[in-house]
Amino acid sequence: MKRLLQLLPAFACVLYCLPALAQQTVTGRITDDKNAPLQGVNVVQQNTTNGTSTASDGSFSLLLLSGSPSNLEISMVGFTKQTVPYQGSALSITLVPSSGSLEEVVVVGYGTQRKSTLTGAVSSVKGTELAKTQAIDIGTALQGQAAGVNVTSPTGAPGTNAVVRIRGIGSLNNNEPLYVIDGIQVNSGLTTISPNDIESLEILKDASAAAIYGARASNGVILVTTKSGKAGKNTITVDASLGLANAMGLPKMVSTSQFIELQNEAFANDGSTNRNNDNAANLPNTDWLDVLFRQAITQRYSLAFAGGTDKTRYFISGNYVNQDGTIEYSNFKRYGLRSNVTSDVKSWLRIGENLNFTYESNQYIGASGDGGRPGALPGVVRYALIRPNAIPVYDPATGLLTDLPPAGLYQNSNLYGDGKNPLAIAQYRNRTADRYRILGNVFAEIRPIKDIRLRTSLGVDFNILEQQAYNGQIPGDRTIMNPNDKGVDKYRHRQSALTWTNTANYNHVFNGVHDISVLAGTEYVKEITDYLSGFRSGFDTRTDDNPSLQFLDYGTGTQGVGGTKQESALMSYFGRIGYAYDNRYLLSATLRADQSSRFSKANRTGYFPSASVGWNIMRESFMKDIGMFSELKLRGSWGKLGNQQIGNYPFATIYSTNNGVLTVATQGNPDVKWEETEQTDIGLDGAMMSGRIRFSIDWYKRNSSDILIQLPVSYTNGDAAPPYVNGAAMTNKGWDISVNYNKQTQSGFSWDLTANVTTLSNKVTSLYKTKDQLISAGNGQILLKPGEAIGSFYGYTTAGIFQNAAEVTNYVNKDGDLYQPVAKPGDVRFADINGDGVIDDKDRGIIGHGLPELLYSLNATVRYKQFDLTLFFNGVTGNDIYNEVDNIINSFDSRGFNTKLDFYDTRWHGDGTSTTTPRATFLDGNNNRRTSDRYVEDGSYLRLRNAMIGYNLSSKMMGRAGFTQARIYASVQNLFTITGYKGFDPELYTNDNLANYGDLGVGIDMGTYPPSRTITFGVQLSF
Amino acid sequence: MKKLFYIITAAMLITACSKKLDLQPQGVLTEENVFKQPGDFTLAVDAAYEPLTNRFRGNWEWDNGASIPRDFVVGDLMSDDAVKGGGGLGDQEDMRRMETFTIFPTNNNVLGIWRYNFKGVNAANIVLAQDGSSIPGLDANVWKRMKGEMLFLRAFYYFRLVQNYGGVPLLIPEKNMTDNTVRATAEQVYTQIREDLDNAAAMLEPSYDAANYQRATKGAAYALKAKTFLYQEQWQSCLDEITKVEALGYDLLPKFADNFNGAGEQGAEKIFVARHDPGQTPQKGSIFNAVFGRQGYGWNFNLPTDNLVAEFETGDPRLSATVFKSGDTWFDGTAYNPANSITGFNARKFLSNSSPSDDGGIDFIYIRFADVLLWKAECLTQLNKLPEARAALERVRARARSNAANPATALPAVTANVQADLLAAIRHERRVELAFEWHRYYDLVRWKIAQTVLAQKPDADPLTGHNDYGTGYKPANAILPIPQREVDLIGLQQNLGYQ
Repeated sequence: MKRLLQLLPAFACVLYCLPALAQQTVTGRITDDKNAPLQGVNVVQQNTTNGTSTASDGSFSLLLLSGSPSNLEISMVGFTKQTVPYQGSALSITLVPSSGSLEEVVVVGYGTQRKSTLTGAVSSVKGTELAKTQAIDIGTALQGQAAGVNVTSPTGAPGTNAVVRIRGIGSLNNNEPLYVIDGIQVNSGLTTISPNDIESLEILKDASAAAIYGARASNGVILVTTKSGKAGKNTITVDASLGLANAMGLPKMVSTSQFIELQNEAFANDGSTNRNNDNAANLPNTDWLDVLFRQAITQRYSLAFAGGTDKTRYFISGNYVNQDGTIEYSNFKRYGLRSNVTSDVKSWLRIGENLNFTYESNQYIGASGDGGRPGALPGVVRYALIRPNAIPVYDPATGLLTDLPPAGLYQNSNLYGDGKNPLAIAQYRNRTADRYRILGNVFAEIRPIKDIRLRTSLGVDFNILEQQAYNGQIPGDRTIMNPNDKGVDKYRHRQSALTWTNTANYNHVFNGVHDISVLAGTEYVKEITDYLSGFRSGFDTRTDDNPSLQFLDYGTGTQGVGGTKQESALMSYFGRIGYAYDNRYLLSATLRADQSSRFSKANRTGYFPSASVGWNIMRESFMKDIGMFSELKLRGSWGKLGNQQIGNYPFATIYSTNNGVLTVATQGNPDVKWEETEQTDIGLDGAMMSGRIRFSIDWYKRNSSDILIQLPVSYTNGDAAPPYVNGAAMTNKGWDISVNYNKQTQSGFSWDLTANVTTLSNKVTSLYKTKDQLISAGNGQILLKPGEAIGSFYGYTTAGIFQNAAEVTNYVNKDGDLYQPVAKPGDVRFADINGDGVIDDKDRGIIGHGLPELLYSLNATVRYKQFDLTLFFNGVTGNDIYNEVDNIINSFDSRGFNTKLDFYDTRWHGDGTSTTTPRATFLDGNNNRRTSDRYVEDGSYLRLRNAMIGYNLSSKMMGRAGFTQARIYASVQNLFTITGYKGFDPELYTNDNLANYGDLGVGIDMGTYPPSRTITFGVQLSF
Repeated sequence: MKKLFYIITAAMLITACSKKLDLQPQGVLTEENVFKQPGDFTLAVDAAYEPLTNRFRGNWEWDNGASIPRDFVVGDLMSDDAVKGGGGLGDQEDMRRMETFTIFPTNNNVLGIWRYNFKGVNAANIVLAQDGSSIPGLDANVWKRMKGEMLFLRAFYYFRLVQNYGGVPLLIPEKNMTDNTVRATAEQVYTQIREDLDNAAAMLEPSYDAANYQRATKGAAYALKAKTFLYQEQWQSCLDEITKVEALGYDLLPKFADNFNGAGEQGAEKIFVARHDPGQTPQKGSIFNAVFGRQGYGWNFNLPTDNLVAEFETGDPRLSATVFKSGDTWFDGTAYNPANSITGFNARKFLSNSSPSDDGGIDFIYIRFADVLLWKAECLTQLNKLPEARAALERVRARARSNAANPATALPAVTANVQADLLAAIRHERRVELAFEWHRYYDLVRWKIAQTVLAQKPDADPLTGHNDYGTGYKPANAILPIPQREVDLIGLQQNLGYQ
């Protein structure tokens, strides 16, 4: 029926066009509104496939088919389409760019929307901006690009995911936003997506935008649209860059002679007659940080083919990244291949596919935390920090890497600690994790009648994760392993996530003013992870230095296998209705019903509604005379979102038969239900000075309730993991402000400045049974307490240093009792906070906050003729860091560990020598090192994240070389950081020790893989 | 065309829903299917024994009290018998804080002892909450024994808790005592322990077949009950229980060393042991070869002091069974090198030449007959029945003497006929007979001589461990602090002197 209709004009043509049978060639030139020639414009004879595209000077020539209308359809992305009648003479056509940014189309959940009709808070980031950052993963690339989004690169290790938090922290569990890549839900492995492959990112921040994703949306949603081909332009693009990275922020440690001096001072302070009588001049003075760190090279290459015709578009690309870490033996490699094709096979049917193959290999070392968490690798950075300079890298007797201090060098080697050689750990205890991934979808879209679009899409995210590790003899190590102590561990996890989405869209404008859109859809998501692992012991000495023998098969000792499966499924129904009156008054409402396998039958279904309104004020007649604004829109939204990112079976009590005994592994709770977040948002978007200034301001409030908590329970009830309980509530509120200024001058200068400011205020409003919870990471402690923000540090408050014996004896309560009877001059004075006359654990309180209150960024680009310069700053303020690693290296550690020069310079060593840092002591009867505000520091920083200068070859030169675009650039990442923080890096998140506790450990620094200053040179060519 | 699409979509959606959302955990038991077979009961009973074994404790969470058993830290390290050792002065700093009496409630050894004893209490309670009588295939006598074992183990763990911490929360579900936030008094804990032991003794057999030899016996219940009386200085009650133990036919092994080298496994001297079988999957061996093994072979912890070595009388054969010293040969045939230990000695009891080193096969002894005989001697001395006391003591000394190179001169019989002298002789005998069996510190506290023995010493040398008791024992150290973690989480009252 439809095809019949399409045939009719052709018949009409046959009837009416007969006189024009003679063939004609039409020529012309197409320019933009500034009279610059446009290359690659599609010129197609109406109702035919007969077409061409313009050359670099904007000219075209087309032989018209007889029997068809001689009208030409002129189109190009970013410009308004025109239909031009050919009347015999050469054509001169001016294309007008599609109007300003409010007419941009924005990707929203299950569709797109004109930006002018948007009522939700959505931030869009262009792929080009992401690529500029030189980041390897999209999370890091997103840093500072959008208001309301807090991105932290928790470590400088290659291949680590950045931490992305949208509008604060609403859960005690998983706070990762939902990532939807080309319509497919993705839970992990964002490092596999190259920022170069991204067309745009949309961040759905408020409930009205995100609620269409219902149960998974409470942490916000990030929609990733990858690049695709464009009709009429066949391009080849080559990118290559080389980066040189050096670790930054490394602390200075004491020399061997200062180390010995401190120890002897400590013996004297303790009243001991022992001394370290070694002569520093005869001992090594090894800079362990220097030994461990290196200059590292990052190489990146990508090649892309893109193009297509009106009906079929394609994009094929490949990329390769090889990033060495600044710590020896750490490396990240990624090989990626992408292709997508869409084709309008019929006028009513469009089909397409989008496939992404990646292989990723990450050789990593333990670098965050102290290796205290089960399964964590020993932290080499911590080992480098604690190892005294007096220990040589290689044992002079054997030539092997040292382990314990070589006994022959010292009068008493016990004084130099028992830490491991970080280089040996990095070399012999690294791991390689491989990930093979297929991510993609196929879809079909049908337009059975005008205004209705039906779409079905089947997406898959298929991963194989593999790791194999050999635990063998470290040459020179204190422990001699016999064959049965050595072993190979291997695991292979197979994860698949299938997303099947069906949507129906209806869109119609009635009477020219009533714009109605309706979306209805269903979605089924199934995730399966299949685990398989094996180990074997019994490896001979040959195996230790022969990687080709480090396989399960070569072992002769005991062996074991393991395997299980985890599954979850989500069945959803959703809909959205939008109404716009005259583009002036906007209404939108969504509803999603989710059924999740993660909850028991009674609690399985959750409903997540949202409603929003918008008012395009500039379309009101009374605003006509007010010339200040060119665009102004007020938005408001409310909605309810869910979070189901917890274990798969929280309802079931699970028993373990590991170790040949039956124990309760996890307590279940059949009453567990969704976490819910209600979010309110009020926003104002506008443009001033004919679009030169654009701004967007949002105020938001998120109330999260029924938060699932599974916190450390008392060991008095045994070892089983406690059940999840819907117990806590939290509030996040703040402002997102984004302002852009852009200007072009006649002289060829153009400016583009974007500033983002985000404020954040987080508060835990209630807890299960109103019981405060305390979580420890090393010496650092976090208190979770109603009325306080998440990440509140807990500990004693110090009140200076006792300068002399009189100060100790004068520190008494009202009854005259000594507050600190065992204290000696040089010890820390602690405050009696509750005033009960004793200093005990009741005097602990909140001594700092790990979450920042304000985040800001400035992205400035200046172009002049062929040159461009980009400066990108970001910063945070209002947060503290608990410098846990300073509890060892800045406190004089009795274990014979190394000390920061800072301690040497600032320590108490006599009346009046220090009011901040206590004396050196082996015994520390006063417990100077207890958790206290001594280790809390201001975590604010401002960082020049990226400075880039680029040069674009002029079109003349390019024409000669056959390029359409050629650019060379140089950039420096992390050129400088302004901070008062004395640890490695103020930019940190939680630590490896608390990896199981979500965001609770935010701000505790246990020593991380430091960030690096990287200089990158690159070239981009298109032809 | 359109219709077809709708029909297909609708059809697929209907099949997609409801049933596909009923997903249950895979590869594990849940409350739906657990405790339905006799095997589940066997494994759950074994779980209650696990916290008293010296197997690797599942993971390397030192800070949470896991990784290795910590009981030796109190029993041996805090006493005058041993110093920490390890890789250096600061290897396991929290152990050094224990032995130097700078003990804070955050100490991970304090937490470890609490955690694993309560783990045992809870594991026992899980089995006691089941009804095994209705399970097909679970023999009524076996179920009775299992209940007896659980009552015994609950008492065992509570005894260790009350020894270490004083009064602790009593979790006795069958009496509806489930509140973990209230500390019972030490007396209430002792009363519960004896009640559980009385019930257990009635359900347990005097012995079992070779496959089950490690299970709690009637004799173990009597002996443990005797020990509770010993610790509460109720001498006659203690003797009454010892009489019941003796009636079951326990005896000393001919060779002292066979208690600790594997040869005397399941012998007549063993009253209650932690069983360790090497080479099993999952591993059931002891981790002590790794923890106490000499440098290079193990981690070199728990090093005997010169003070302990000097306590042995000349010619006492027990010395060479207790410590490695210069001139000895390590299990692997290499010469023992005293230079690798700061004291020049390494502990020897319960170690063997296992491979891998954390899979040792020697059972650890909690109660053996020689220990009971010395209790008997002590009680009798306290009751001023000196000849009988000397007789009990002599049995222990005679066995050692018979093992000596020169029995004619070694270890003469004790002739003390003054109560205080005999008591001193018994204390000496306990120290050399039972060193590295985790009794010494508790004995010093019990005898109220810890303050003199473990005082701050002017000649202390932390680099050799010689006399290094740090700030010295204080009366508050008679028990440990309640772990700070439990104080913070459930609000338990802290012990005096540790606030």
